[in-house]
Amino acid sequence: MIKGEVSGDQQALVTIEIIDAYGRPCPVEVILDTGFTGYLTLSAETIRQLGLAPVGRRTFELANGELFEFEAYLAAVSWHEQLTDALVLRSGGDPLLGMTLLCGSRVTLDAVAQGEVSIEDLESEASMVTPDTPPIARGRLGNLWSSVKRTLFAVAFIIAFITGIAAFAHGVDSLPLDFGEIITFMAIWLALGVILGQNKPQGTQVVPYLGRRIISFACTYVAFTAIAIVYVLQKDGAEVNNIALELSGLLLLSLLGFALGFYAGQDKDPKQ
Amino acid sequence: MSGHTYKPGEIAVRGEAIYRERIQQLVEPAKKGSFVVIDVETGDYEVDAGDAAATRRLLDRNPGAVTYGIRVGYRAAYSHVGGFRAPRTDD
Repeated sequence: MIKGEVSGDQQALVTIEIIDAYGRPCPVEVILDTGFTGYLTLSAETIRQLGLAPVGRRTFELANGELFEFEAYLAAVSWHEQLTDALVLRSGGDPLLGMTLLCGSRVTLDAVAQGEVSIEDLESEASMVTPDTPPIARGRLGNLWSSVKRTLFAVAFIIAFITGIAAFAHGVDSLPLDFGEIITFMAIWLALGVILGQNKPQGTQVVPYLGRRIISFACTYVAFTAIAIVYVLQKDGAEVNNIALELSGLLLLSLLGFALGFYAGQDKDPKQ
Repeated sequence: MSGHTYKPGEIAVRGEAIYRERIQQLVEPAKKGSFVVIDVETGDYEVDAGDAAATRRLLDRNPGAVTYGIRVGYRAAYSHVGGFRAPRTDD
């Protein structure tokens, strides 16, 4: 529950935590404003102190019908013990907390000086998020490229998996691992990849965006190098002993499992 | 979008133009109230019930994108509703 207080000049104030550019939660006092349809407005000074990155512009309609354009920022806000993305508008006025952030909460306030203000989570009850607007629709090009990438990745994974199994089967007589153990091994690496690769609001990812991409590609690259080495060795008729095959297979399986998990964990909407 | 060099109003003009030409007929009227967030440089866009989620996905795809958000079926992405205004003289 988020607590606040009604001020002497009759404003319902609450203090929320916004994650700054260094990933630190910073307390910011805002005024509850149920007339504002957005998430948050903050002053230029607060935005500068938090080091929020600008993401573009949004139009805003005033009560008299006038349209204004505001600089927009994306911030991670600590909200009901979770981090949620919020779109912040840079305004010249007081910092406001609007209805989009309040959606899904019960707000109570004692409208007297120093009266209590509280915001409770209504997550288990019906949410106010418009049910007739299914999320996730993409630009056609982005959607296509995303599908191509995933398809290529899946094909590469299947090939590599079969190769890995073949490498094991080659020296099956003296192998200490059976099929079940290989699957368990894969699953562990896959899970690790999913956990580390998962998208979360900015400033809270286990590994930041660029790092995730680099790790994903590096794992795939090294795994394919391992396949190539095994093939070249076998083709040349060199003595490839079971230990070498087994190690290549393990390396390949673990890296690919990890990379796949890492990749699969991404592109998730942190609000859902 | 650090260091973008758009003049005031230019991002909105570009965003509105992309929306009218390529997106409006796909989302209206079925997605009224949803947000369409457009990368004004590439024309890529995301649709979601929430502006922040759509913006986040678009930035994940195109880091550093300059975005413009439209609320489908509304004049502006955000508003301050129910504000106090002077009555018209014929009221």
